Amino acid sequence: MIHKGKIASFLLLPLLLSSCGNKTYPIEKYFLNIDYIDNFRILQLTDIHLGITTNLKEQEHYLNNLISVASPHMIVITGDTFMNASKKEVDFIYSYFDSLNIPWSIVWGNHDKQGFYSPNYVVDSLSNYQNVVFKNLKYDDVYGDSNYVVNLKDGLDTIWRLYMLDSNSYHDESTFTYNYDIIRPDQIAWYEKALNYENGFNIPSLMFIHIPLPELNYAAEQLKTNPDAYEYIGELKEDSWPGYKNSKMFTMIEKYHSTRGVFFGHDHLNTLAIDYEDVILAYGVKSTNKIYHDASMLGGQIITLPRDGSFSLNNLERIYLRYEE
Amino acid sequence: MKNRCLFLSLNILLYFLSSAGVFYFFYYFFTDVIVNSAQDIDVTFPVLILTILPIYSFFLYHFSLRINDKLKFYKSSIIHCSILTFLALYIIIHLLFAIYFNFDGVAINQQFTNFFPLDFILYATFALVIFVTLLTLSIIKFKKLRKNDELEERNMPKFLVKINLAKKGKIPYLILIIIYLLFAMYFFMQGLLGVFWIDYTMTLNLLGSLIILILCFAPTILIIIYYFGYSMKREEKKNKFYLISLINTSSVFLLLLILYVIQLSVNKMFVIESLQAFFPIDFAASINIGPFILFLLMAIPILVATIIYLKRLRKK
Repeated sequence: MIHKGKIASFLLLPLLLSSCGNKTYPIEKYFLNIDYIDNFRILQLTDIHLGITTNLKEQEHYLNNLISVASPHMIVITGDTFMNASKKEVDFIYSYFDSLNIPWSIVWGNHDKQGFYSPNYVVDSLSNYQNVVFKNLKYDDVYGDSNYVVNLKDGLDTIWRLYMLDSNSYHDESTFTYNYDIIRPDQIAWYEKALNYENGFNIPSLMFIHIPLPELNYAAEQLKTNPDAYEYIGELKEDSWPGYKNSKMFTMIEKYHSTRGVFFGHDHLNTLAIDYEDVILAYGVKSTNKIYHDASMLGGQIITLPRDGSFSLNNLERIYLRYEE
Repeated sequence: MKNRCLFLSLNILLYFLSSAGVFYFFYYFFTDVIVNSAQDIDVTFPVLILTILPIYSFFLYHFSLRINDKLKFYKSSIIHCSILTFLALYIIIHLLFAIYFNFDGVAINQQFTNFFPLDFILYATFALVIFVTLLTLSIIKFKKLRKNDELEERNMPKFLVKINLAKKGKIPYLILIIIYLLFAMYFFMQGLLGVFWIDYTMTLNLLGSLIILILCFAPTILIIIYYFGYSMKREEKKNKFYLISLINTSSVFLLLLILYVIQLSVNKMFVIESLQAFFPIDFAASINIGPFILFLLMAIPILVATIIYLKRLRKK
C-alpha cells in the first residue's frame, strides 16, 4: 500500500519544478512616458562595474564631471552597473542618479546580479526612486527583467520611442563553460507587439541593450576588406562578444524600419558605431575605470534626437574624460 | 571537566562560524581585486590581510594538532596567537584611522553601521582573535607544562583527543582536509546568506535553488559527522555509527543528484537565472563548475568514508 505522504510528495514535485506561472500583461503596461525636449540629449553610460572595493567618492567625482560636460536631458545605463557589489554600491549609484533630477533608465547586463544581495535586489530597489524611468512586471511571460518602452512625448504626440530590452546574461551551451545569452524569441515577439501598439512602427525609435548584436561583427568583418562598405566611427580594439547565436533581433528591426539605432556596451575597449542597413549599431563608451579598460577611452556617449525623427552617425557624440581631469 | 569541554567545543564552533564569514568575504573581496587587476591595491591591501587572518589561524590550528610535543605546541600557539592579535590590531587601527580622518580611497566605502562588510569583518576578526587566544590559554590551563606530557583525555573534548592526524603525520592528507574546510566554510556562509536572499527569482526555480542550498550546508554537516563519529570510543559503536551515517549520507546524495538531473531537464538555465550570486568566480570567468564542485564536496567524503569502513570490516 502506497503511503499517502509519498503520493503527496510526488504531487508536489511538479509544483516545485515549475515556475510560478507566467502572466501575459497587456502591452500598454510596459510603457512609460516622459516629456520630449527639442534636440533631446541622451547620455549613454555603460559598464560602470561598481564592486565592493570601488572608491565611491572617486567615481562620484568622475561622473559629476562627465555629466556636467554632457548636460543631458536623460541618462540611460546599458548594463553591467555592478559586479561583486554590495547593497551599499547599489543604493549609492541609484541615489546619485536620482539626485540629478533628470530621468534615468537602466537595462541589465550579464554581471549586475552577482553581488551581496538577493538576485532581484537591483531590480526591486529601483521602486524607491523618483526620477528613474523603469518598469519590470513580475512573473510576466517575457524573458528578462528590463523589458519596457519609454515614450518621449510632446503633449499627446510621441516624438521618439526608446525600447529597453534585457539582453540577459549567460547560456550554458557546453558542460563547463558559459557563453553569452541572446535576446529570446518571446522578447522579440514582445518588441513586435510594442511596435504595433498605437502605430509605433511609424514612430522613430532607439533600442538599448547590453550585449551587442552579431550584425555588428558581420559589418566589421566587411569593413576589413572594404573600408567604404559602411559609414562608421570609432574602432574595435578587442573581439566583439555577442550572444551564443544570432537571435534574429535585427531581422525584426529591419522588418519594421522603425528603430534607427541599437546601443550597447559589454566590450570595454570597443567604440565602433556603424551604419548597417540604415540602422546605427553602436557601442557606448565605457564609463568608469573599473575592470579592464583603456584610460584614454572612458566617458559617455551623447545621442541627440531631433524632432524630425532623422538619425545618423552625426547624432552621436563621444565624450572622453580622463580621471585626472 | 564537562564545562571545560563544553567551553572548548563552543570556542571551536564559534571559531568556525567567524572564520566562515570572514573567508567568504575574502573570497568575494579577492575576486573583486583580481578582476580589477589590483588597481587599488594600496588601499585594499590592509583589508586583504585582515581577511587572510582567519585562514592563517585555521591552518595553524590544524597543523598544531600534529605537534606531539605538548610544550612545543603551547609555546608555538602563544607565538602565533600573538602575531595574529598584533596583525588584527594593526588592521583595525589602520582602518579606524582612515575612516576617522576621511581618507580618500578607503577600501570599503567607510561603512560602519551596515551589516556588510566592514563592521562584520572587524567584529569577526575581534571574535576570532579572542577565541583563538582563549582556546590556547584553555589548553594550557589543563595541565602543568612538562616536557612530553600527554594530555589527560578527560580534560579535552573527545574529538580533539581522538583525531590521530598528529600521530600519523600525514601532511598531504592534512592539507586536503584544510582545503576541504575552506570550501566548506565558503559554502556554509553562502548557504546561510542564501536563506536570507530567497526572493521571487529563486522561487522561479524552487527545486534547483533548494538543492543548491542543501548542498551548501552538506560539507559542514559531513565534517560534524566525521568529528562526532571519530570521537566514539567503542569500536562496535563506531562501526555502527559509520554504517548508519554512510547509508544516510549516500541516500541523500543520490536523491539530490536525481532531483538535480530532473531540474536540469526542466530548466538547465536555473543557476544562471536564480543563483548567480552563489558562484561569483563562475560568472566572472564564464566557467560552469560551481554545482559540480558542490556535488564533489559531498561525494568525496562519502567515498573516503566507504573505503575506510570497508577496511575496518576487513580488519575485523
